[in-house]
Amino acid sequence: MEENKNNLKDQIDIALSKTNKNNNSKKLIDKSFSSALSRIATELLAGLIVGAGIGLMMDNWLNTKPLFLIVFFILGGIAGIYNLWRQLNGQGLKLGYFNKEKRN
Amino acid sequence: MKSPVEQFTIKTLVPIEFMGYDISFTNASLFMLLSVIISTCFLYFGIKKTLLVPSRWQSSVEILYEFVSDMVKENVGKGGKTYFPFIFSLFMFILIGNLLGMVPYSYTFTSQIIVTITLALIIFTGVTIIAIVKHKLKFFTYFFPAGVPIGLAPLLIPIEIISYFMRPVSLSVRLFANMLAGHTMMKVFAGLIIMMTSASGILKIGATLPFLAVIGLTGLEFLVAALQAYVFSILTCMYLHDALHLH
Repeated sequence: MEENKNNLKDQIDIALSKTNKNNNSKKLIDKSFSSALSRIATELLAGLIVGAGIGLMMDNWLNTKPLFLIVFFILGGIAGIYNLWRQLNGQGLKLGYFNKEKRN
Repeated sequence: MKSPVEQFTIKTLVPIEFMGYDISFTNASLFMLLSVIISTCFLYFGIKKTLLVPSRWQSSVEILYEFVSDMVKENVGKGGKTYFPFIFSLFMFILIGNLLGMVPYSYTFTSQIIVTITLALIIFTGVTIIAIVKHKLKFFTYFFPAGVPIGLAPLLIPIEIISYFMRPVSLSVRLFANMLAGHTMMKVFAGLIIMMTSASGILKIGATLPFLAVIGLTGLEFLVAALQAYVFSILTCMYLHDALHLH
């Protein structure tokens, strides 16, 4: 009887550890195709919007009309693609340039 | 026939003017209020009589609580428990708001960019303040971490700053665009049914196709409603994690 109990406990532990592995919620977003698609679109769009916004503000401030708009529009595009690369590379939505070994 | 985007028009219910600003109570405000009331009632009355063997209502409240609690634990990490009430309220507000939008004749307030960008800016400002208070000047190493060649600075710093300011934009645009696109698409397909049935001949039978599409889209929209609430709150958790632990 006692042995049976222990056996059952082991089985429950194994089953629980399995579900915990599958339950990694970070992966859930990545798996869904449509959400990945919308993420790519919003990320690229957000880069351009923010880049153009910063560029326009600096132009208004320094009176250098289209210079900073052009520079930051391009930088915004780069930032969008860079962020997408970071996400697809498994760094998630975390910001910054860092080495992978140090993290986790 | 009504236009597919007419569902998004803001109607003033109670006109209020305050110091020259129009702060009228609109249909969007009504549904935001409803979302708060419904989620509060749902949670409060669900756990009012706690039973050892939970009823269906109580266990659905418990499932939601545990779901968000696990999400915070997993994604914010150490010190995240403090922010659980905020994340949970945010999640419930958006979830109920999205689901309310699925009720016929109702209004989807998350399909307005002003609503989502306000939520996103509150989170963005809050997270930035938390990070600065916690890490002081070390926070700015965020934009240029140690170990990066100095020659990259002129390129990397603007890109990282843009990336940082991209967060509220992408956070709000994602929720807003998903809700707007989904609801418009449903209306377009529903409009096709009416247009095709009022036509003559073979088109009448063809109306079954958009009808089937609408059934499928309704299911998809429920998925999107829940998924986007989840995505919004999980991203908030990730930003909080970055603010608390930097990298």
